[in-house]
Amino acid sequence: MEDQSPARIKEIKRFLSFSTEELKSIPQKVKPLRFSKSTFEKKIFHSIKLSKNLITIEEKFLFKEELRKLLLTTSEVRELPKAILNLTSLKTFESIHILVHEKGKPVGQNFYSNQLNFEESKSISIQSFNSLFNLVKKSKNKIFNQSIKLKDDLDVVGNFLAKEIDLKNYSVIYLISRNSFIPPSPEEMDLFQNLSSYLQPLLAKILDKGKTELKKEVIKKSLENFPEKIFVKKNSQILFTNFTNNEPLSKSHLMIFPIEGMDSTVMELSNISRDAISTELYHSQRVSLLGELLNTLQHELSNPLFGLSLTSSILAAESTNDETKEVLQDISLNANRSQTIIKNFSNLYNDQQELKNIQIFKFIEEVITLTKSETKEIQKKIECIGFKQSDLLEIETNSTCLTQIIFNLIINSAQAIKSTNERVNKNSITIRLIKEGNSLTIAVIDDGPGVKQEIHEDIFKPFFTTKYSGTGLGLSICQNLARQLGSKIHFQNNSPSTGTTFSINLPLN
Amino acid sequence: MTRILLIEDEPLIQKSLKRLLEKRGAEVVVESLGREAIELILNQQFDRIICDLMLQDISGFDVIEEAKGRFTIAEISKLFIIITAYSSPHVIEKATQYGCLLISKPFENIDDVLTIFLSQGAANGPT
Repeated sequence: MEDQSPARIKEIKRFLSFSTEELKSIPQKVKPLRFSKSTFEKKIFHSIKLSKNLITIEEKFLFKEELRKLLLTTSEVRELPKAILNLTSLKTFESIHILVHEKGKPVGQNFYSNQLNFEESKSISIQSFNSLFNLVKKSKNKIFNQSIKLKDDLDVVGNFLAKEIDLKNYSVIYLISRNSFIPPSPEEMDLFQNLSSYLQPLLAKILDKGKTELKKEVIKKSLENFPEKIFVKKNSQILFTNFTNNEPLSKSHLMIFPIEGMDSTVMELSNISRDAISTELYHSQRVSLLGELLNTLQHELSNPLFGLSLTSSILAAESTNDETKEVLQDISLNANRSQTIIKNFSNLYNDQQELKNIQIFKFIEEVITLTKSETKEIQKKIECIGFKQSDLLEIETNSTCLTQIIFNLIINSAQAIKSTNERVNKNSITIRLIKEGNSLTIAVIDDGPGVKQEIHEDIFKPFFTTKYSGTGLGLSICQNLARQLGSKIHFQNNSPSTGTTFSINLPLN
Repeated sequence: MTRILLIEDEPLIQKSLKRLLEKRGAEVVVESLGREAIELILNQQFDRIICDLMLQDISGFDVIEEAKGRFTIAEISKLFIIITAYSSPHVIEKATQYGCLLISKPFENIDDVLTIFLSQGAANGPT
């Protein structure tokens, strides 16, 4: 031992000289050892005298050096068990498991490797993962043995050391074993603890890396295949552009979004105007926002309205004064009506894709209720042709789509009627339901000024509007929605009377 | 006499239901806070507990969870009736786990609901 000492001291000095800086940057509980030359040599000679601590110090350095390499070279979790077993300091251990559970996922993953170069990765049930995680978390000495009962077999023999790591998006347990029943020595415990302080940042790095990269990949893919030209620019320099080579249309608009958290970086979207995709995008955003809003409103208003209706009806029943009784009954009725309106509204904007049977007459009545504020002073009536109201005719369709179509058409008619100051007509909107064979036509008929011949071609085009404050989207949205229902909206000017008829034809079940 | 605990934080609903139930001969204790309600449940005797889900401090499910300290699941399913204005599939599923009857607000027929409130151990699962 004595004759090897100078070589060893040289080796350790070498380690120290290039690793002090790096050591400082590594997060760890044990402070990096730093000595001045003289105290260092004193210490070394002192240990040589005692001639037993030397190995530990040297090993510690070697171990940390190896761990640091591990931190820099490993980029996948599945490489990790083998890499850890290859650490010279951990040669005494036979096998290692790294169990990873991404929070919120139904299963975890068990990465396993042993000294025979056997590697395996299999899933582990979340029950087993959680019970092991809690068990490890509660344990003070972190020593376990194979007798612990889990739903899934871990293939561990004898005693093992385990530790849990709780990261933001993942829970991780790692366990190392010698496949023997001899309890781990204090030195091994020490190594294991050291390993922990390195594994935490390493796992955080590689696990989240996978996630961020996947996210980046998905975003990149979808941007690349976006049907319109996209530029991502930083200080007017193009960082990214997609595959589309569509030239920007004349009269097209450019939309520019700043990218959050990145200074002077923007995303530019060309061809925003005059195209159905952006119409749909704009519309679906509005609908989903509206849906959320209505949902919140329904839940916030429902309770107080119910209280109002309940209380006023009780008080009405108990009241002896006829006038008071009547007022209270009105309050109760109005509360119920408000309840119904808000409920209908949110039902209309629910379950966008769902087909269901609706009673057409009742349905149209409900839609008319929704247009009330826009159609004040305009008479509305529903006519049935080819069937009777009492037949309770049903149609299977997407009620959200159909509501929006009829709603928009009625509003459109109302605006047409209001647009003219001539009050020669009755100001009325008729919704005519015509059953013919196996199909139903819904016609919205107004007695407004009609559509001028020169714009007949344009009225379904997006952004075309004759109104000062119009978006020009109403009818184009209707036409898109009609297409979703497998139909089309037609229109014609009434003759000989004035006004317009918009109609949509739908198959009956 | 049936002794009922009504946990509901909307004052008008609370008062109305108390009055209607008392008219039918029940003794009604009302509480609008979940934590206070838990105290009552653990320390007093009730034949029926009507519990709203959206309370100001904690949720109705938290209240039921705490009641496990005194009652078995089977007892809870008979004792508790959940009333809620927010019956999403998730809520219904959770109520099913406790086996409790779930009634949506607003009640369609108040007389029927009062009869259910006053019935003995109506553990039929959510409606």
